[in-house]
Amino acid sequence: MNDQITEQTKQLRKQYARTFHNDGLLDIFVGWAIVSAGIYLLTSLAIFSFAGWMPILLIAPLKKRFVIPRFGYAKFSKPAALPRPILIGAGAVILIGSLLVSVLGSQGFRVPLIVGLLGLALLFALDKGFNRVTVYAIFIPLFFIFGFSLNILTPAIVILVGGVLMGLGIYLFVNFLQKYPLEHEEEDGLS
Amino acid sequence: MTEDHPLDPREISDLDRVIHSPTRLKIMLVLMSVEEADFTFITHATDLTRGNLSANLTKLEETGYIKIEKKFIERVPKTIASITPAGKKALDDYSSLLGPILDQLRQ
Repeated sequence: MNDQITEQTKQLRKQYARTFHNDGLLDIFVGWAIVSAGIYLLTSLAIFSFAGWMPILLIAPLKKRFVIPRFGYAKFSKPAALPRPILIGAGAVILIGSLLVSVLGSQGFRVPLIVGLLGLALLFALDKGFNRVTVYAIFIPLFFIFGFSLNILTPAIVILVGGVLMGLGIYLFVNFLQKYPLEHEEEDGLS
Repeated sequence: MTEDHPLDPREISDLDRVIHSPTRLKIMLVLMSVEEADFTFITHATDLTRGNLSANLTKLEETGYIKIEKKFIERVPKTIASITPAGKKALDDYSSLLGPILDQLRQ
């Protein structure tokens, strides 16, 4: 295939992926996870250590319910930005490494586990070319690492940061719904 | 059409007129970048009205450059379009012919 067309289609795929993930859902759930961490720090109620991450399971059903009917469906045959075995290998190293640090380290399991999970998010971001995830994947671990190390991470700050992300997510979600209203495909005129 | 092969205006007549239309070229580029896409996705990706898109999809299907099917995605009926091997070849040929012409004009 002609190089110019290949490059053009590669750029288009990235653009579609960015728009598809610009619905704010991820921001809302990441924000909620941080808010929950803040509430957990404040109250020590165990439920908030789970409540933060569990709603992430809702992303796929919500995408199907709200995003695909509006933005449309497309199947991408895109090869990964990095070769798949490298991504899987790097993911496994990060996960196993963070678990080992959790078990062997003296600082408890939360920080290395968070770093490990967000490292996986960074790999996902690299794979998808999704820039905002990249920012989150870099910013959030640094926020927690420096916050804990310098002992400046108060529950209020954590809740505030999470709240800002949730607010951004809600703003993006409302924008997405307005930009892509629901249309009925029966009107396509194609038999 | 390089320095060894100067621009011959007659070759412009060889451009594929089905693809040469800006509307259909947009559709072809979108379908080239995905394996398959539904009508709504192509509408957003090309910024075309539904009527215009429908007419041009039909034209491309008649030429054999794209395939249109009705499929159920998540139990919802969708009009799915995908580019055919003939469509990929036509786009490649079009680019190979037009690219050197544009290069020559830039010089």
